[in-house]
Amino acid sequence: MTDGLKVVHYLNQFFGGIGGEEHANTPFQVKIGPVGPGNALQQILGDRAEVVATFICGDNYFVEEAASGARDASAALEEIKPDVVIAGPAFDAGRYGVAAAQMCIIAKSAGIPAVTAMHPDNVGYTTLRSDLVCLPTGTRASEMQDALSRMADLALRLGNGEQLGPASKEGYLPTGLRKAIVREKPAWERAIDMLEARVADEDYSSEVLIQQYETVPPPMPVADLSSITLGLVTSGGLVPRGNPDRQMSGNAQQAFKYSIEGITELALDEWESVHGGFNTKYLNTKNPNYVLPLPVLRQLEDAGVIGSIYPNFFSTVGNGTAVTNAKRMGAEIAREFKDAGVTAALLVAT
Amino acid sequence: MQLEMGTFPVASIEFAEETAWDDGNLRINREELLGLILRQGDLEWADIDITSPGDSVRLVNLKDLYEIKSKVDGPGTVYPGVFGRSVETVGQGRTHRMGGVAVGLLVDDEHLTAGERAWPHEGGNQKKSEQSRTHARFIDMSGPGNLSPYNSLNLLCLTIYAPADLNHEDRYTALRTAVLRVIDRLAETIADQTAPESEVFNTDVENPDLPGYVFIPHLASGEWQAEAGPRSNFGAAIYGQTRLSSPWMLYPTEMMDGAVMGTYMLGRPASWQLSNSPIVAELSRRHGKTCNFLGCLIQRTNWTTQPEKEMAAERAALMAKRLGAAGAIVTTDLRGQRFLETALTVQACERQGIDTILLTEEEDNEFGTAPPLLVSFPEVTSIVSSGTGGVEEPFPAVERVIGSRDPSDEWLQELPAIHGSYGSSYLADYYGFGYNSFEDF
Amino acid sequence: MIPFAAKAGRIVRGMRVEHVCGDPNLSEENDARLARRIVDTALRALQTEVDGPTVFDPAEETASAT
Repeated sequence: MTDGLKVVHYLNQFFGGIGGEEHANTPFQVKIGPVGPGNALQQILGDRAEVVATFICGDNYFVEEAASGARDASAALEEIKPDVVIAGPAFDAGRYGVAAAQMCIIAKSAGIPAVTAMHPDNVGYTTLRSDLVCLPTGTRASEMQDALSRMADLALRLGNGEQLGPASKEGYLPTGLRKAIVREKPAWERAIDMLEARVADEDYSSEVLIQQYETVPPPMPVADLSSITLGLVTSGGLVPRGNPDRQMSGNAQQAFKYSIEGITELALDEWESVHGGFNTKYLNTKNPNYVLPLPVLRQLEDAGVIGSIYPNFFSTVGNGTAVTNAKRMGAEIAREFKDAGVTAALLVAT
Repeated sequence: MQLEMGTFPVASIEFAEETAWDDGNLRINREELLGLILRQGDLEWADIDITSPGDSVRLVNLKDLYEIKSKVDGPGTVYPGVFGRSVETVGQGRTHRMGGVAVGLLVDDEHLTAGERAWPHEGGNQKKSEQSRTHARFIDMSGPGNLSPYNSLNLLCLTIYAPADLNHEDRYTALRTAVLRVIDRLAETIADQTAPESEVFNTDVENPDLPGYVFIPHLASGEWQAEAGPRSNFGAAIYGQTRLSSPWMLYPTEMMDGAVMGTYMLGRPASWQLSNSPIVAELSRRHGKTCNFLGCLIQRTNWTTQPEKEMAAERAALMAKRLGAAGAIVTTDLRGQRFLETALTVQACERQGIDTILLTEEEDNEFGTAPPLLVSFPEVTSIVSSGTGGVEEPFPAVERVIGSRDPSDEWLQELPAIHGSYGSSYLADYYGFGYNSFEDF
Repeated sequence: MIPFAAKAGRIVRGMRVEHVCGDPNLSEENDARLARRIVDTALRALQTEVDGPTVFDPAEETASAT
């Protein structure tokens, strides 16, 4: 017994000593004290903390039977009341990474801090990072000692109620959240320092790490255009003249739906663009169809090339639009299209 | 090219009987300067105010900030090429400037439509719709809103009531030529005196073995976007050129003489910043010691087709390469597609083997759900972030408002914090003066 | 470039930001023809299988029927 913190360690079926892939459906279970690598963890922790229990669960079970896995884990946490949970390390094992991440999230929602570790490409981190304290590892279990050691450090601090500093300083992987800070040198000086470091081939840290937008796999192509309904969307800011719905010229919150039933072209005296990010003169004094080519589409519809055009089009303004709002608008439009049997869409972007 | 820059520091400004600089004190004859402004018949009202960091003052309608300086020896005039001034190449001889002070142009244009305030073209929509960023149109001289460089500059504020009956071009010209008249007059007071501080800048290459660096600022042009046209005075200018063009290569001392000045229409004060870029100054100082500062490639943005954007980026990179650059620092001056063009330049430079640092603001993080930059290319690896242009605490109430003929009381009150969604016009730090930044958590 | 960065699967190159599906500097007839070519390209893109972000260029579009 120690006076230190109480730690729960989460392991999968393999590191928990049950078996390999064939035991991936092992249900959630609790063992007293450390198991397997948990012993090394206990050595590292010394008398600062005690691994009072080890949660072991098959990767498939914890992820596929998520509800019951979560229930069992929550119940066990409720009973044991650890100060901190350590999950993994999962290295590059994808399902283990997801399970470890989920374990951390369950702990977090029970008010218990948690730390995990895995390779930065592990899908457990890439999909769930916003709720995780996750340390980076390589791909090999031979790095176990190093990973456990770093996890132990952060776990002790978290278990003692400490707030962690920025990712680059503490060594954990970014969650996606960025916070305002004040640096010691002005930006111009940091820029010159960074340039000199690069030119001299020295280490440097970029203040922004390039991030990718999520990839959406492109859907299968349309087999027969003449049988489909085509949906139309524009981010060119088209609105009925007078802007009755008061669409914003920047930072739009909504996409508005307008009827084009029976209309073969958008008439100049009936439509305008309120987009604030480019010169809308051509749209407003010559031809609004430049950002929604309705005349051509109607011709193709009449000729039977396209089955039909969905009677409403969606219009928003792509100017300083917050990503979260854009995602939401896209999902709402997609839902309406899907419900209405629209299977392909044209988005005119400006 | 060699420039001797004589600096006359200004520790205080006060109204007095005569306009003079004397041992750190700038005295202003108010009537004289007002007379210079109102000499332009279309300008019916103006006012002059003095403020310093620490004052409980809020500046509204600040359109631009200018350095007081003049050529005392050598060819050309400071701020060459704008509004009919000589386009003779500057950057040589001797220039006298006042340090620790700037002249602010504040334009009371609240009586104009949104379109007239910002966009000169007729068919555009901005006349009709609301811009959602009015909350950002101020600078405080104390408190959390007193950001660089306003926390180190005494300001001589010229508030001018915008003439409503002029067309955009004439209005823009009337207002800015008024400021230049004041600047020229003030610079006269130091032309014949000996500068207390003096520095020589010379970026001729003596030691070709040192790594070569270039500075590549991106300046949005109003030519297409605002339909200002190729002959317009509107916006950021290089020797008075506002149109879209391939990059102009300037010596660093040309920038110090004000060859690059002006600001994109919504008023992100920039002229003083462009004349006083600490990157230009510091690289000039290190020239011949740790590097060769090969030049400033002034890049224009707001091209409206993809091929033009790609070409502009490639030409800047090839120009840097041909000059012998091993490294580059790139800045931008506006969000949106202009940032895309800036990122393309960084990409093109990296592909030429030039180590490139991008100094930029970043986008609102939206509580961890949005990426920090609008576009991401794998080549853009080295980024210095000057924050989002937001201020996370409220701005305290102030005692005085400068910049309006009849300031509304709401400007005096405490104002809410500005979350950095799409940036805050006035607080944008494009040239890296400040310490604000963001960090991954 | 932006749609590319945002990983849209099928991207059709339009004209300018201000007039994506056409060109006001052309005669009305040629403007309409250009709009038709751009839309035809879009329809071709919809019928083409792609693995990732792919740009379709109307300049490569051969003359369409009618």
